[in-house]
Amino acid sequence: MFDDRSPIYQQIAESIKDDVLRGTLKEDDQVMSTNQYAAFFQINPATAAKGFAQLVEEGVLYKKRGIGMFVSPDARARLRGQRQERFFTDVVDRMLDEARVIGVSVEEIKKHIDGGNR
Amino acid sequence: MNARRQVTEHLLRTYRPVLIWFTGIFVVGVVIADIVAARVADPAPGIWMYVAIAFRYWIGIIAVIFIANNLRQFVAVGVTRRDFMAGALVVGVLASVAFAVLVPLGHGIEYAIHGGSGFSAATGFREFAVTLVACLASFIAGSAACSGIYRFGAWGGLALIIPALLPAAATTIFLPTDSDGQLIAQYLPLSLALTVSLVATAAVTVLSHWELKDATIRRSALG
Amino acid sequence: MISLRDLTVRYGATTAVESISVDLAPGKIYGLLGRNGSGKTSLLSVLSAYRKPSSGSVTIDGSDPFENRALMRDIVFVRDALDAVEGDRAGTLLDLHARMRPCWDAELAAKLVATFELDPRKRIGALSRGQRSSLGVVIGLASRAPLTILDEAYLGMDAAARMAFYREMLADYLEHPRTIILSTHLIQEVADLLEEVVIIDRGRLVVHEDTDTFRSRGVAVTGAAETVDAFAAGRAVLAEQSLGGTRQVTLYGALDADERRQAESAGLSLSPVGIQDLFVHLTSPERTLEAAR
Repeated sequence: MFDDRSPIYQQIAESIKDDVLRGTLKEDDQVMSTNQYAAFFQINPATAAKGFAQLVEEGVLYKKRGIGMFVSPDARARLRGQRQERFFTDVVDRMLDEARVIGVSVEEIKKHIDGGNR
Repeated sequence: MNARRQVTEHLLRTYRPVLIWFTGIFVVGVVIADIVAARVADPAPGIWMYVAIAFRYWIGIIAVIFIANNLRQFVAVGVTRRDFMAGALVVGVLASVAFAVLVPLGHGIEYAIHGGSGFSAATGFREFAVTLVACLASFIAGSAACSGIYRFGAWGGLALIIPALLPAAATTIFLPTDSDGQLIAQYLPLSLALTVSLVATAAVTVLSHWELKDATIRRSALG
Repeated sequence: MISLRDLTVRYGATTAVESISVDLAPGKIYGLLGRNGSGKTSLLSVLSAYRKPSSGSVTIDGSDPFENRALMRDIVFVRDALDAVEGDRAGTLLDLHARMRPCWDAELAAKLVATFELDPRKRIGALSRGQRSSLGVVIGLASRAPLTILDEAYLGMDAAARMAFYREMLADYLEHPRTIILSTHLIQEVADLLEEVVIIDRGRLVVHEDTDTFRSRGVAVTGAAETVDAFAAGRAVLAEQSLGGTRQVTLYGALDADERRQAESAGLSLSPVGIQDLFVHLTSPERTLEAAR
C-alpha cells in the first residue's frame, strides 16, 4: 500500500483525496477512525492521525467531536479545482516536454486524442 | 500479594516435589537398611545419621540453584534482586526447619526400630538445634559462594568463596557430629558453638545480599 | 518520560554504550535500530534495570529503575535469550508472569499462544528458536507493561510468525497504548509501525526522530561526476559510486524546493532512498559518525 520513499502521512492524505475525487468517499461520509485506519493498513496510529490532521487543515475532512471525521461537503469540488490547476503544469507540460525530447509533434498528439484511441 | 511472598511460594511450588521425592526415597532406603541391619547385626548400627548429615549439603546446593537458575527469571518478571533474595531466604529457612525436625524424628524412630533406649527429648532437641544451625549455615554459604561468582565472575568469585564458606566452616569445626549424631569434640560449649555459627551465618548473609543487590542479570545460569 | 543522560556502559576495555542522552516521551512505539553489537542490548539492559550503567543515568518519570520495586514491576524486557528456567514448562513461565504482572491479560496470552501454535506443556529448553521467540512475544505483549521492551524478539521466527507478531502488537497497542521499544535491524518490516526511530552505531546515538521525517532524509543524486560533486560539496554524503563519467551520491538531509530545482536545472536526477538503505548507509562500517552530522 505505502512505499517507504516519502512520508506515509502524505501518502495517506493523497489516497483519501483520491477516494474523494473518484467518489468512493462521498460528502458527509464518515471516514475510518485513526485506529481503524492504523489497524487496516498496519501503520502507527500517530502517522495516520497526522495524515488526517492534514486533511482537516486542508478542509477535505471535518471533525465531529466524539463521533469521528467526515468528508467536507465541498471537498470534491475543491480537490477537483486544485487538481485541474495542476493538470496543465503537472501532466500536460510534462507530456509535451517528453514529446519534444523523443520527437513527437503536437500535431501527432492532437491526432491521437481526436482519433479517440481509447 | 507482595513480591517476596510470591518468590517464596513459586520456589516452594517448583522445588517441593523434588525435595519430597528425594527425602522420601532417603527415608524408605534408611528404613529398609535399618530392618536389614537389625536382622544381621547385634547391636544394630544406626544408619539414619549417616544419611541425614547429607541434608545440610543439599540445602547448600539448593541455594546455588536458586541464584543460578531463578534470579534471572524473577528479575524478568519485574521482581527486585532484594525481594528475590528475601523470598529465597525464607525458603532456605523453611527447608532448614523441616530438615531440623526430620533429623531427630528419624533418629528417634530408628532407636525405636532397633529397640534401643537412650534417645531422650534432650538428645532430640540438641540434634534439632545442631541440624537447624548447620542447614542455615550451609544455605547461606552456598548462596554467598554463588552470589560472588554471579556478581564478580569466576575469578573474583573464587576469592570471595573463602569468606562465603565461613558459616559452613564454623559448623564443621564447632559442631562436629559422629555417625550417631553425637558431638565428637567440643572446643566450645554447645550454646556458644551454636551462637558463633549463627553469627557467622548472619554476617555472610549480609555479604551475599551485598554481592547480589547490584548484580548484572546474566544471559544464562552463570555465564 | 524516559530520560537517558550521558549513559555509558563498559565491559572491561570495551565501551558498548558511549555517552548517550535521549528523551523518550511515553505512549509511543519506538524502534531502536542498530547493527549487531551496536550497543542496543546494553542500553536496554540498563533501561530495564538488568544492569547498572558504568556512568550516566537513566530515569523513568524521574526515578532510577534499578532495584526500584514499583518501576521494575511495570517494565517487561524480553531479550533473545529468554530469561527462564530451561527445565520449566512454557505454561509454568506464563503462570508466573500472570501472577506477577499487575496488568497481565490472560485472554490475550491464550490467544497469542494459539496464534503462534505454542504448546504450553513443552519444556522451555525443548522449544525451537522461533518458538522461544514466540513465547517471549506472548510474555512481552500479555504483560501489558507500561514500558514494554522487545529486544530482537523476532529471532528465528518465520515470515508468517513475524507478521503475526507485528499485527498483534499493533492491535494490542491500539487498544492499550503504552511505551513499546522494539530493537531490530529488520527496519523495512516494522518501519510503518514505529512512531520514532532511535539509531545507534558503535555505542553512539546517530539519529532520534520521527520515522516519517527520517524516511524523507535520504536522497540519491545522479548525474555527471563534476556536477554531482559540485552539488554534494558541503553536504553529508553517506555513500557514493561511479560508473564511467556518471556518479551517484547518497545525501543525508532533506532538500528543500529551491535545492531540488537547482539540482534539476543542473541536469541531476534525484531519487528517494528507502529507509532500510538509509539505515545501512548511516551505520556502515566505513562511515564515521561526524560526517553524518
